[in-house]
Amino acid sequence: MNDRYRVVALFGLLVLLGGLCVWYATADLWDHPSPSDIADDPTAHDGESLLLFGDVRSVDQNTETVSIESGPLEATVHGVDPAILADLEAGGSIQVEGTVEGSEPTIAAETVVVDHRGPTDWHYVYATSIVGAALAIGAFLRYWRIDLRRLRFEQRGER
Amino acid sequence: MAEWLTHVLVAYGVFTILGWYVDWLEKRWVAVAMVGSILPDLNRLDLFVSSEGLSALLGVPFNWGALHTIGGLVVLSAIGALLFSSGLEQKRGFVVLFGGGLSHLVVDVPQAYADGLAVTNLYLFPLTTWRAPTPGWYVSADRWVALFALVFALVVYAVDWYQRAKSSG
Repeated sequence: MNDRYRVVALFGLLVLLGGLCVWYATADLWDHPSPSDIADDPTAHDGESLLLFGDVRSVDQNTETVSIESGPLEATVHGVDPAILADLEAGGSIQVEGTVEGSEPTIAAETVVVDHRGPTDWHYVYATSIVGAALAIGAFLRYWRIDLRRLRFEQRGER
Repeated sequence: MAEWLTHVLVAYGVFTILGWYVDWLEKRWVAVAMVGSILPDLNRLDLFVSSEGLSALLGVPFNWGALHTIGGLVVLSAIGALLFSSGLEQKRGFVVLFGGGLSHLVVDVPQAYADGLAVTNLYLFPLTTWRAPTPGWYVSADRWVALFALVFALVVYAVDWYQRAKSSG
């Protein structure tokens, strides 16, 4: 394939990838209401169960509630195990399986999984990810050379 | 999602083992698989250019999440493959990038989810919305996961080194 056709094919694939991102955004992949559905009209979803992924905005040990943000939705989660609350900080992230309640909206938690307890866990994930990326890129560049002018990879040590 | 160190080390181990049985799968292709293992997490482009911002800009819904799916991986692998020089390299590049990315998705499946079901409904887009049960082995911030991957990669490295030393001497 000559370079001109290759560039056209690359452009076509990038457009396809963009189309896939649009399709994905409009696809109905869950069998429960989305955060934006609930944010738009909480009372319409009163009593419905859901799985919610949220960033922790604050933790109130006294009322045993967690305030979370999930896309456009801001919600208060109650019924969280005190042992989980004790370990959780603002800046963390959790998953909640529970039921939508009232117009506030609040979520009555049945099960909570903590993905990140707070900023420290995020720092760990980012730091190890940077090491991983460096390892992969380093290994790649050991065997391949990037010819930016012709937009292609060439094996090192070969012409 | 596990962090990238785990994904890269798992891809290194798995593709080095496969290289023991597949002649052309040399170290240079293992390195390509390691890069492939990061491809699905290009959905993190969201941190730099948010899906919401792009949706507003384009006037249509847009979600980078499509990159962390089997459909997105096929297209990303094809893009990467086209950057190799010869037809043979492009075919091998596609297989190895896709394989590396697939190892990423497989590693991500058994994570813990609050409702006990994996998010295969997302990973398998656009094929199915089926959600597989998950054993709930880990969450992405669990430190033992990268340690486990490191031990796996080191064992594979040692066996690989031993085999090469034996065959050359």
